[in-house]
Amino acid sequence: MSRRATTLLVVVVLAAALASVAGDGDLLNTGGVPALREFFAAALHPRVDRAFLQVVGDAALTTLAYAVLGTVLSIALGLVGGVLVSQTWWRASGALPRTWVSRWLATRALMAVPRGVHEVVWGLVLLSVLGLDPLVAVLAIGLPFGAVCSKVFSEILDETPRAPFEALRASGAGRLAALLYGLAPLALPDLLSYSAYRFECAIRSAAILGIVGAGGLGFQLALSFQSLRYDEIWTLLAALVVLCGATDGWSSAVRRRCTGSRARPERDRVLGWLIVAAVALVPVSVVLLRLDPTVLVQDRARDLTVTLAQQAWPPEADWGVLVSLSLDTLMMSVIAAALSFAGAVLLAVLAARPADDGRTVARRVLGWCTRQALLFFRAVPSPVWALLVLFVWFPGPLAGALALALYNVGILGRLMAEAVEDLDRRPQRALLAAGVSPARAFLYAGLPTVWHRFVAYGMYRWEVIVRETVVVGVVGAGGLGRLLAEQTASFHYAGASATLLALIALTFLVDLTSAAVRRSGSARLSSRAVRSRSERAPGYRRSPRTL
Amino acid sequence: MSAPAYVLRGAGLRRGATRALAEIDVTVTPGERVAVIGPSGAGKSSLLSLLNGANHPTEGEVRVLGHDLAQLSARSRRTVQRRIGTVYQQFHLVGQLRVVHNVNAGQLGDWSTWRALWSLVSPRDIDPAREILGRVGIADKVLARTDRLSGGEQQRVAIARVLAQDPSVILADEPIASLDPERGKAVVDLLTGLSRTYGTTLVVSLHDVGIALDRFDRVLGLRAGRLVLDLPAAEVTSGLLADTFSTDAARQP
Repeated sequence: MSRRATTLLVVVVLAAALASVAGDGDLLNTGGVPALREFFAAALHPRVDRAFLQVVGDAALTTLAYAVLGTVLSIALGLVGGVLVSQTWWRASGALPRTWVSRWLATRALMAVPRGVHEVVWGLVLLSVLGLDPLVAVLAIGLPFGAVCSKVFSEILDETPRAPFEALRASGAGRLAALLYGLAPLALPDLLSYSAYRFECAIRSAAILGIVGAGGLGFQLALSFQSLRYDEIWTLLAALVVLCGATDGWSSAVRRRCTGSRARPERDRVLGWLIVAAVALVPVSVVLLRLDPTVLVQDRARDLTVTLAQQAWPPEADWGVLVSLSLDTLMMSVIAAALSFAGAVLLAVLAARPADDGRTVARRVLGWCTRQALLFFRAVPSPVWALLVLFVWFPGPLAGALALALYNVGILGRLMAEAVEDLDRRPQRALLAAGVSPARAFLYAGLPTVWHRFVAYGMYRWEVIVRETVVVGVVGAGGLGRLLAEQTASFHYAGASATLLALIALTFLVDLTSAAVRRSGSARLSSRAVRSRSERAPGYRRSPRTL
Repeated sequence: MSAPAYVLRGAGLRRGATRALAEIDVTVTPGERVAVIGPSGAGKSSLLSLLNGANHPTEGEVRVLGHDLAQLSARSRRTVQRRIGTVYQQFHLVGQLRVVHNVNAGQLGDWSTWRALWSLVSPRDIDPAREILGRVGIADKVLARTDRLSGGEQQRVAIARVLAQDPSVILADEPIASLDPERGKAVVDLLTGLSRTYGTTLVVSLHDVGIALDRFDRVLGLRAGRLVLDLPAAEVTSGLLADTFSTDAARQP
C-alpha cells in the first residue's frame, strides 16, 4: 500500500471511530466535577497511619509475589512452547516439508487462543473454578503470558543464526541437544531481555487482577474506591508507583545490558546480580502466598470445571447485539490507540535523555518531570483510570477509550523514549554543527529514523489495547467487556462464552491488521538501508519486542 | 584583505585523560583550500570538530570567522555555525527521508519550526533543492529515498546539503574514505571546484596524500595531536611526508 493510501485509510478509520462513539447525546457529566476535585485534593493528605501502611505493605508484597510467580510460570511455559512453535524445531524433525509446515501452523494456532484473552478474563474464569485462591492470580498471569512468551521466544529462536545448530545436527546430535548447545546460547540475550519486559508487564497485570478480586494492591484499591476513601487511594497509588518504578528500572537495566546500548561481549557482573536478585524473589513469593498447587488436582476444582464447561457450551447470544458491541469495542480500541500514540510521541521526545547532548538544566528538569508523569500514567491501573474518567464522563466506549489512552500513554511513552535514547546521534550532531536548533535537528534527523519503531510500538500496543477493553468494560466503561462482566455476574455462562468468542475473533482481526501494517513498514527499509544502518551504528539492534 | 576565516592560537583539546590536540597555531585566509593529512588517530577529526564548533578547545583559542564560539550564547553560536558546512565520511544523512529533505536540512537554521514541520509532510522548495543537486550532478534524485542511493550519490547529497546551507566555509572529514578511488577523486574535484567558483574556504582531512598534494593549495600535517607540517602543497617533499606518517615517531609521546 502506498504511503498516501495508508494515511488516508488511517484518517477515515479514525473519523468513523469518533463518529460512531460520539454520536449519541451528552458525554460530559458536569455533576461529577466536585467529586473529581475532591479526589485530587486528597492527594495532599494521603492516609499514612501505621495500621494502614501495614495493610499497604502487605498488599504490595502480595502484588509483587503474583507478578514474580506469574512471570516464572510464563517463562517456563514459553520455553517449552517456544521450542514447540519454532520453525527450527519442526524443520529439524526430518518430516517432509508439507507435513512439518502444517504441524507447525497447527501448534501456532493453538497458542493463539490463550493469547487472545486478557489476564482479567482468565482471572474471572479461574475465580469461578478455584475460588479465592492465590493460584488464580498466578495462573491468570502465567497462562496468557506463557502463550505470548511462546510466540516471541519461537520468533527469537527462528531469527537466531542457525549454522551452529545445523552443524551439531549434521554431526549426529539430537534435536534437543543441538538446540541447547547450538541455538540457545546465541538466543539467550534476546530471551532474557524479553523475559525482563514480561516481568514489568506482570506487575501491572497483578495490580489489575487485584481489582477483580484476586487480592493485593488492586483489591485494596477497589475496597477504598467502594468506600470513597480518596486518602487511602492516594497511598495505594503511591505504593503502585514505587513498585512499578522499581520494576521498570530493573527491567530497563536488564534489557539494556542484554540487547541494548549497554550490551557487552564479556561477562557482565551487574547483569548477573540483577538476575540473581530476581530469582531470589521466587521462593520468597511461594512462601508469602502460601501457594498450594494441590488445589488444582482436587475433585472440587475438577467438578466445577466440568459444570462450567457444560453451562458454557453451546454458546448462545443475541448475535445482533454482539456484533454491534464488537464494533463499539473495536472503535474504542482504535481511539484509545490513536490518542495514546499521539500523546506518547509528544511526551517521549520530552522524556528521552540522549547520551551526549548538552541539555540545559531547565530541559533536564522538564525531562525528569515527564518521566515521572509517564510512570504515574502507567502505574495507575486502567480500571482506576476508568473509574476516574467516569466521574465526569457518562459511561460508554468513549469513556473507556479515554481511560485506556491515559494508561497506555505511560507505557508507550516510555518505550518510545527508550527508542529515542538508543538512536544513532551522528546525523543530529551533523545538523547541530551546522547551526540548526536542537528541536529542528531532532525533527529532521531523529524522528524520521525512529518513526518506523514508533509505528511498530503503536501497532503492538493496539493489539494489547483491544484485549484491555475488557478491563475497563468490567468497571462499566462499555463494549464487550461490560457485557461479559454482566454475564459472569449473573452466571449466564452460555452468553459469556459467546462474548468471549466474539472477543477472540476481534483480537485475531486486530493482530492480522497490525502485523500487515508492521510488515509494510519494515519492507520499506531496503536491504541496503538495513545493512548500512548496522554498519554505521554497531550498538543498534532490531526493534525490541514489546508485544 | 578580509579577516581570516580561522585563527587558532595554542589550541588544544582534551577528552578525559587523553589529549587529542595540543598547541595548534594556524591561520586560514578566506578562499584557501587546505588539506589536513596524518595517520589514523592523529587528531584530524578533532581538529575539524574545533573548526565547526562541535567541540570547544580546552586550551588556547579558536576564532571562527572572527568569533570565539566558546564565548557566544547558544543562539549567536548557531548563527555563526550556519556559515560553516561540514561533510562527513559516513555522510550522516537520514536514510529514511527523501533526498529533498536531507538537502533542505542544510537551511533548517533559517526556517521557522512550523515551516520545517510542514515541509516533512509536504516538501517545500523542491525546485531550489533540484537546482543544488544539479550542481553536484544528481538532479534527478530529488524525490528518491536517500538510503536507496549508492555511496557516491549519498556523499553528493551530503555535499548538496552543505550547499543549501550556502556557507562561507566547507569542512570535510575524510569525505572519500568510504568511496572507491575514482568516485573519491570526483568528490574532491567537486569540492575544490565549488570552492574556486564561490570563493568558499575549504578544509578537508584526507588519508590520500597524493590527492592532497595534487588538488590543494596548502597542506597541514598532524601527528599525535600536534601540527608537524604547514606548507604550500608545492613545497612538500617526500622526506617531510615520511616524518608525518612515520609510525615510530607517532608512538613517541
